[in-house]
Amino acid sequence: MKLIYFFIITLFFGVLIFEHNNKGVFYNPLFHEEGGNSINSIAMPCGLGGSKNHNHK
Amino acid sequence: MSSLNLKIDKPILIYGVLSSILFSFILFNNIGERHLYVFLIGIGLGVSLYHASFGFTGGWRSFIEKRDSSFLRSQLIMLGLAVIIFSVFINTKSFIYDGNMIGAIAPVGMSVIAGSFIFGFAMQLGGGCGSGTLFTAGSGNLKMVVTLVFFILGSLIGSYHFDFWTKLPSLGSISLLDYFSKIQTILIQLILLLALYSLISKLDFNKNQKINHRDITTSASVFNFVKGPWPLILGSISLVFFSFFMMQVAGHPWSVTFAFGLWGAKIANFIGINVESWSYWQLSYPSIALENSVLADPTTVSNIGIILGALIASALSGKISKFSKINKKLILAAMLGGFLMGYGARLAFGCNIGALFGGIASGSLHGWVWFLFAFLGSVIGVKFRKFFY
Repeated sequence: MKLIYFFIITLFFGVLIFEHNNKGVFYNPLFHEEGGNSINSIAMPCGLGGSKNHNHK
Repeated sequence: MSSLNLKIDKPILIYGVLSSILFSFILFNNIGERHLYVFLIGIGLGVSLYHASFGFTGGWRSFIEKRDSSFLRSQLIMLGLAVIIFSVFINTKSFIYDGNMIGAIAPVGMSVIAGSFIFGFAMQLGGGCGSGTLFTAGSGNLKMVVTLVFFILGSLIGSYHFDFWTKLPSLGSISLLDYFSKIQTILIQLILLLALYSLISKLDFNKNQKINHRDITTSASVFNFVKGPWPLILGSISLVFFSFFMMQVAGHPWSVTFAFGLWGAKIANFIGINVESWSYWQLSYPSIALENSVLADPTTVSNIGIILGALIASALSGKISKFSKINKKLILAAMLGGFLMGYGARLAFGCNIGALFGGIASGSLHGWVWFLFAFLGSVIGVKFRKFFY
């Protein structure tokens, strides 16, 4: 069970890094600006910049 | 057995530390220092969640079944501290970057009511909430890995139906900070939290004939900061502490479940499903996140930090090696619970962290609605759970 667990978690980390290398970062979401419209107000529903007065360039 | 009597699991500790160093290196070099800070805060959250065994699911179940209010009281104290600190700092400039921090404000409507009820019900089946699933999956619990996989699938399907749910009747976003001053917002919410604290304490006392308010300040066995376990109150304080820095660095309160939907959408895209055509993935940030590297998404980064933080904490406690076999009924509960939690979280604009904690701390009414309906869902979920556990 321990081996299965560590195989899964290592595979998960590997996939994240592989995807990162393939996609690259064309936009850094931590640079945002205020002032959004109603569409943007539900653009990030889970708190992630979540909600209102928030727009992305 | 006390953690003090257990040996630190060095190979797993080394695995956790080396993985953390690798991710720190990638984030700092390829994305930016703020992503590195988010990751390190995530590790702090993972350690805190594991050492304090700070979960909403078990705490709510303890109260529903036994009227044991200790976990709920520590959660209310955590919310009280967060309300005071967040209310002061929301809409002010961050210490870390040149910009204002914003709260987790979302519409109050049918989607929140249905989603939070489903989530509260499902977390009793899945065995953990949003943060609970992450830290238990990170600390070697294979059943919770199954819950996490189905959480991701549920979030993906929830994003497919997002448009339908958010078109149902809604009062729109209601933030107390729009109607009251910061001091008034803090006072109103603290009075509500105090009333809840008194009510659950009274119910606990009526059932158990005794209540010790200091039970949350003592740990289950001999306290050890490095190996754990921590008293609940230390968990509450450290979660608020790290959440405060999360807001300072990321510009918004801590959130968990957006990343699950994103991971699901990326997998779906990879196998040829045209997720980009779904209205949710055409919204401003989700569309960007789908195209971008997954490591550019701050919620993903903090989630990886939580997983690794919990892994490191469990290796320190010596309890990681307790891998046990799991039976078919528990797997079924994990699948069902995980899927419904993911679906519910998408409709409800988050989980117990993004919607309940972040929402209430930000003065948003949707956080309170989420709390009420998720708790009602849990009452039903606790009864239903008996078929599986």
